[in-house]
Amino acid sequence: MTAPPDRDLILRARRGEADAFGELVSRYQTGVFNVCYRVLNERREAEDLAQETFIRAYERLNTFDLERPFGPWIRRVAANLCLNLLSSQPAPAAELDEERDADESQKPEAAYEVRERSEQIRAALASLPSQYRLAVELRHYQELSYDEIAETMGIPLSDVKSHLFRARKLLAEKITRTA
Amino acid sequence: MHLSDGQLNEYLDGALAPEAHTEAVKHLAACVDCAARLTALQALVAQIESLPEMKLSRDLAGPVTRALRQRFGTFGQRGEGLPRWVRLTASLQAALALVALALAAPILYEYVSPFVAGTKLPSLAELLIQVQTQWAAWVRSVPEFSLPSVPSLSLDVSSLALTLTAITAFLIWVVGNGLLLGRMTKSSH
Repeated sequence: MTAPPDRDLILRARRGEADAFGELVSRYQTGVFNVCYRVLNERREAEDLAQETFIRAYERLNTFDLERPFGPWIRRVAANLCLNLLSSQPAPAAELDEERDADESQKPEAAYEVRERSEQIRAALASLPSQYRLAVELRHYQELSYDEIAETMGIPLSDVKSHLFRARKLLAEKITRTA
Repeated sequence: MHLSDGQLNEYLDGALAPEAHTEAVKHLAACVDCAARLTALQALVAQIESLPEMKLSRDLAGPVTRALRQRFGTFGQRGEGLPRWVRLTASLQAALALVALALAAPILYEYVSPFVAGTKLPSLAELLIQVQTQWAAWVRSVPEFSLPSVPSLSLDVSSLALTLTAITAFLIWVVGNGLLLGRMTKSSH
């Protein structure tokens, strides 16, 4: 039996079918969690915010355009929630979560190298100011244009350019230093 | 003159204006330094985008649907859980059930009164005969029935029409309840 398309699940969820919305959560929870984790860099907080993302998404499900893909939309909802959370919090000292990246399909040596490299990138991302981190998330993981980033973050286009430029410069310095 | 870091970033993101983009392409083809800086920037972006996805420590589907039920009472957005036609059918069948109950009150009374006073319960066959007799008597008496407090209503209703009405009301009642129960069962899973 083939899996029902997102469109059918969304229509059923709008009619109040819990199973249909649960299936959408199962499909997109990893992507949504990773948005939150890359921006917040704290597993528990990221999981809680991923859960809240789906609840907010359900409340706005009637506004979703069925002609567009669901994945980018729900990840953007997550990014907006991260932005709201970061705006309401004082900037914390950047610390890398104790998580480890692992790819179980690779040989141990190769997996170790991937893990090390991923940790360097995560550490470098975590050290960025929150606004830069969010700009990187929206540009590199959600593939938004400069205009879309400006709209999402509520900042001028010139700020988007400078955020990305400075973020990349800092990332390059940190990754090179730890390599 | 070399490309600035800002220009290189915008070139990489495809955000330069068409004329500036053409100029940048020409310059990069001729300038080894700027081409090397662009390669380094592309390598950095590739590293950032190669970051593997982390796995969740728990499944969110259950907690999300539970939280939505708590927030909305039932799983559905403030009464939008049932389509309009189902809600109308349910209301109609409730109204028809009330009408049927009012019409059946006299026969029910006549049917129940012998058992209250009597000492012997009838057999199933006797019961069926009695119901059939009462039904026929009720069908005959309905056209002449009038409430004492309201003006006399002269109804010309055939027994066939009454029987069809009763069957229709029964079908609507069964279908309406079936739909409601079906949706409730789905939502509770």
